[in-house]
Amino acid sequence: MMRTVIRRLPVIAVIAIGLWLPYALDSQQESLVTRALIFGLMAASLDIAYGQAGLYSLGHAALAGVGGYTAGLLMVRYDVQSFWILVGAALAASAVASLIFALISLRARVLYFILVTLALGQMVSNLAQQWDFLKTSQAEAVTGIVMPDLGFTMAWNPATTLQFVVVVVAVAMIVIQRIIGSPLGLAFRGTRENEVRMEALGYHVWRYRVAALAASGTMCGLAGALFAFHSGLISPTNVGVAASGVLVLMVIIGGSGTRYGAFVGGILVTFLQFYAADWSLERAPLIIGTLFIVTALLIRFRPRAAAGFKAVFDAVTRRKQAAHVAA
Amino acid sequence: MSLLEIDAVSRRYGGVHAVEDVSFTMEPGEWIGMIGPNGAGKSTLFNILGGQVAPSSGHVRFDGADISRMSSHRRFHSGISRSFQISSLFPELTVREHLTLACRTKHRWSAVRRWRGDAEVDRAVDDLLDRWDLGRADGRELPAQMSYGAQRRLELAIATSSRPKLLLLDEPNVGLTREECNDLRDRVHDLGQGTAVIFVAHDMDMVMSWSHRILVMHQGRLVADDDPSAIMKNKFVEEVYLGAEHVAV
Repeated sequence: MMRTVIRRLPVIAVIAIGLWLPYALDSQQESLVTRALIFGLMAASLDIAYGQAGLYSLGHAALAGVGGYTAGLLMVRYDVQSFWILVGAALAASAVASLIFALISLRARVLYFILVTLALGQMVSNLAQQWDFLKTSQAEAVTGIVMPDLGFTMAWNPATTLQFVVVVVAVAMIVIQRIIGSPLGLAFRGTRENEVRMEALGYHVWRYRVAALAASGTMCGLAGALFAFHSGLISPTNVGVAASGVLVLMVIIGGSGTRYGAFVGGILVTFLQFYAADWSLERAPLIIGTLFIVTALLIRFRPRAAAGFKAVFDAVTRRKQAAHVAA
Repeated sequence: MSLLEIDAVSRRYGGVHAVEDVSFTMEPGEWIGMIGPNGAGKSTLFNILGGQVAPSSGHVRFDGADISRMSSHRRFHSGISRSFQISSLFPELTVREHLTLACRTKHRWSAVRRWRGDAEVDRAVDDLLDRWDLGRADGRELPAQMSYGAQRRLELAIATSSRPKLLLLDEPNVGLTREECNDLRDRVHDLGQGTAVIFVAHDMDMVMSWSHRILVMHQGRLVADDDPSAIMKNKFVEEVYLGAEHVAV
């Protein structure tokens, strides 16, 4: 028990800092950190499929959107306020959507799989644009979403919202880490590395891939619901191909297939987007675009986990090992 | 009843017959070497047995059941295991993870980190690390950090971990010295007398010493199926496969 607590100390420390942050930040910074944590969770969720199972999806923002739209519409159209019902519905809807995604897209392989996920994501985005039921305002979005009812009195403000999101994201990240470290997670990595060998070892690869996409999409749906609560709205731009592309960027920058890389990447890119827009609204897309190009070039030369902390960590570790050997 | 029955199996790719009308049977515990020049159809037949390729016609029966259309993952559970060329190890998984994937036959869908069955799997992995001499760095090495011989041992440790009834070995001797080859054979023999083995190899000395029977493939057809001494005397085999090189020896 004590050993488990000691091993978990860094994680406990991060959560404690997260809960303490509202005392050190102004409300705008609190809102930014909240948003960054939500996108960190979204990227970590995508990485179950992208980094662990090697399923390079370009439609995951749509799956997050299914969670966000489900929670938002239930709240605005049907006056459901309970956090548990809203999140339960968001998880269920995104799980079903992920399964449909998987059943369609996993008929294709590699490049075709990417194209199918891209097309599916675009279809969801178009649906959000065209279907009146998915609009509650002139802005062609679901607006008027507020923080949900937790079952006890809670005075929502940026500080309490941040603390609430820290707790939910921490729980969600523990679930994701459990999946990654489980027999199922190892099987996901096996299917990523060598499909034929996994089949020869008795693993039904297609089913594991469906499971990876379902787990990934469901967790994305949770992040989508949090995004809707925090932003107060959800719109087609949040679920489109561009949004999915940014999610992939987050995963790659942080280091796909690593334990916390995608989460850190999500936080970093969100900060970058904010400060780039803050510096110059017109030049922000240029900065993000440049980052895209640099990342793409890095992928070209280091196919997986090219950039980000893994590479830096590896470099530092190698240097230490080299120094040790030299000594 | 034979362990394996191959009945008039053919595989066509368009107009090309990669394997044509091949039939043979195999008994439990038998070791069969498969030889033939490049393009003879050995790999295709091997893949048909492993379930990676389906036959265009004919039947494959294993333990009395028709497995002609059975997927490779189901064949594994029915008792067929195979090895691959080294390049098909899992490049980013450690030795221990390789063996864990192979040894975990239950709770594969568990999304909980420590399942009570994990202790059993850990013991099996430790046993394989010891038995196959792979315990360097406690199994935390990646394939690229291992010697060629160690990679081959890992390859065979994975293939034999389930103690299969039929083991298919794809060129197990490539890149190994004679001593390492014999070591591998002894380790596979240790599995028990019941395990039948079919292997593809080009080293004639090895094929002669390992096999109870030898199958000779040529242009997709099975041109000879006999014991090693008879194969050595077979004129047709001498001409189409052993050729001048063998005569010179």
